[in-house]
Amino acid sequence: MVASKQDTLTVELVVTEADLWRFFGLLRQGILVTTHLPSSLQQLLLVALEIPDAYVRERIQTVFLNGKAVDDIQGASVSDGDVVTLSAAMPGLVGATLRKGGQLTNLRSSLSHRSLSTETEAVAPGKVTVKLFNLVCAELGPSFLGRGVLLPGGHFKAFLADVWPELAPACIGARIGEKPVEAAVLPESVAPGAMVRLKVGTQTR
Amino acid sequence: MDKILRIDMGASGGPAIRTEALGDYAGLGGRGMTSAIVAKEVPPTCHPLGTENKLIIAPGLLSGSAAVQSGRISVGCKSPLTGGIKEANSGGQGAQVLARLGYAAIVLEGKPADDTLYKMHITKDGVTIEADNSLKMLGNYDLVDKMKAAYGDQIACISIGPAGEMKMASATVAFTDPEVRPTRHAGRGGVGAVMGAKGVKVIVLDDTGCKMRAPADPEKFKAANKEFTAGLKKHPVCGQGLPTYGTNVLTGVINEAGAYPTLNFATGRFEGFEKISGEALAELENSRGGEGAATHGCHRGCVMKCSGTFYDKNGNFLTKQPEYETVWAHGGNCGISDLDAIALLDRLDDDFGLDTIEMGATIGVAMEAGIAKFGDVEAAIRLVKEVGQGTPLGRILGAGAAVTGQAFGIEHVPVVKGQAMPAYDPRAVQGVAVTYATSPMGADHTAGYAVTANILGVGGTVDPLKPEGQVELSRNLQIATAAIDATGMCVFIAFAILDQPETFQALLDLISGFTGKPMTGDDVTALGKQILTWERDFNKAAGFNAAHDRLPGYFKREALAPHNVVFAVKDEELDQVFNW
Repeated sequence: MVASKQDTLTVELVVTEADLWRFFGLLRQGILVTTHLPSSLQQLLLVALEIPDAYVRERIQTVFLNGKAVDDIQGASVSDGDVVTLSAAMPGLVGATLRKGGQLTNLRSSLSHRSLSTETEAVAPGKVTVKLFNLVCAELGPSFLGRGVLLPGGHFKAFLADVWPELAPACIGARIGEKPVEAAVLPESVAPGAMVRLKVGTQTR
Repeated sequence: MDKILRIDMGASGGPAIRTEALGDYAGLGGRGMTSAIVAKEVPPTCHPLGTENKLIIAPGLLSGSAAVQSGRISVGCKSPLTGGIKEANSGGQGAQVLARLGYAAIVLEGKPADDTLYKMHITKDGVTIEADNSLKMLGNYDLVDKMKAAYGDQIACISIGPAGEMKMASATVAFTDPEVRPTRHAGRGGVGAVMGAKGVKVIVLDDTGCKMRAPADPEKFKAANKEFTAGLKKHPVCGQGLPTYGTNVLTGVINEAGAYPTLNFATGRFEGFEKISGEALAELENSRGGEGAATHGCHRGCVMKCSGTFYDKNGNFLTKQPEYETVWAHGGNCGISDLDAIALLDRLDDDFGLDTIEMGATIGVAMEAGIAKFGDVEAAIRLVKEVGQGTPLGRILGAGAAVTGQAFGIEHVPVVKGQAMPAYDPRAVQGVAVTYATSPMGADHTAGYAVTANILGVGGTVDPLKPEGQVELSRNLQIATAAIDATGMCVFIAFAILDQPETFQALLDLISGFTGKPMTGDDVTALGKQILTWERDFNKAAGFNAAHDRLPGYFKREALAPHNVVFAVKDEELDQVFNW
């Protein structure tokens, strides 16, 4: 990932492992990834997001680019502002049709991503929103949160409004920038318009 | 499972019980049995609530055996909702217990002369039926509690709630789960209304003293069952995704695809989806804890355990884990993003005996009509309660989305053959919409569900680059699903048998090990085609034609956001689905 030029508020939290799932909703809503774009979707997953190749091939069975199902992640090109969604294999006939490749893709042809040439686009830093769903969220979420994820401040503020009254007492440590803060004051420290880099570590009480 | 139990509810002097050999129906189970009997014995033009209609309850071919996932039971009749043939199936304990009692089907015939309500009790020693008007208008939960008090807690119940007694076209037949709770329902098509018309409130099954059904070839059966179980457990959907999140895991993905019908199919994405996603539901259930919280099987012998148990904020049991279709119907389709409210609506539906899909779709239509505002939780709860109480408005809503749309002058009524569409917008996933349009059952997401590489090959080679590929796929899927529905197998096995050829072979070996007769992919195809032919012929004789195999016109005209797509499959293509 390349560094963002925009100023961000860095928030570091430490919670118990049992409470980490409470942050997964943020990952489903979408994190921002800054990288050089356009790039292939495969490049984004393997390099920018550091997801192991075997995991991409085997576990991530349902991929959307701007809401369209992707069959060829190598051929799909990601540009600034795009939204990428990653999911495991899904149940149901429709779940099966949405999988990458497979025999049922024709059932959702109007929803299929078509690769468009981006050869004329100059490569430059940009942002992609990445959403993690279901098992992919549960499995990749802890490492993503541990490394730190970039979020729109509004999402984080809404999350805090929803979850923090319950979660704050269980928070073992909180820092904004380099400065330790009381968990209780966190919601008022985040402006909706800001970007937030959130790191969440775990510790046994 | 060598006999059929027939009860003539209209016999002079009271209900008459007779037991028959299988005769022409030998070798049939589940949907194969129900559709065969309806096709052969029910006059297609009869009134669904009249004396000529029959209600058939049939466990699958493998039900009652040690075969995993074999606990589905089919309920068939002429539908009061669609006017055509109907098979609605359910999980729960009913299939296993009825099969162990030796019955391949219960057939309710005729109609009582008055409004007396009956209860039946079936044990290894025989069948009794008696009038019991104290059961009138009891909800399924109170009813089952009363049956447990009378017959003990080793029973399985098949019952109707007040909606069935009021003969509402969205009424279900309820089946109890392993905890003897009425949480499982043959939901679609108003089968509960037909049971109500027969005057039967509850059938209590007790298989005490009965043995598990024995396979013809025990060694082959045992080996195949082991292989089949291993195949299910190792599969990422059957063995991991479904047990962890349940079917509601689809909410996020379908929403992302822009295929999530929102606000009565007005748009393809719901802003509040995250709060009602499968992930959020499982997290909520796990955080509240309790037995079987986010992972629970609907019948004994289920290894996938795609269900769960929803406890309220105080830790009290409220309902089973609401399924994807229920969460969508009462949630996104009505603009509601409150899981506790959706769970309460599910509980009310189960108690009154109402199809959650039909009710959610109906309330969506009512909201569009201005009866309530989208997103109004209290109004949605009040409307379902009105249905349960049978108020004048409740009677209209209980008749389903199509009738409600007519009553309030609404064009946007998402139905086919009078039955509400499930949780996938047909404009976004057009291949599935082909099945919605052409299934003999009306709009039904499970009608074209069973997907296997083998079946796809048997039914004709599909070229994915040709537009008619989706018509051919729908045909093959409907054929395969009809056959699976006859076995009593849960349709969720489809994913493992699609991806793992050895698991599909294990399924064939399981069936042939049980019956003692060889079974191939061709046999499965032949069975599926036979069932669909019976169903199509019945509907044709009931007055259905190609015009009924269509989606409402607005799906062709009004584009769905965010992808701005309309349903574009041509009528001529739809007419080719059953052209084999």
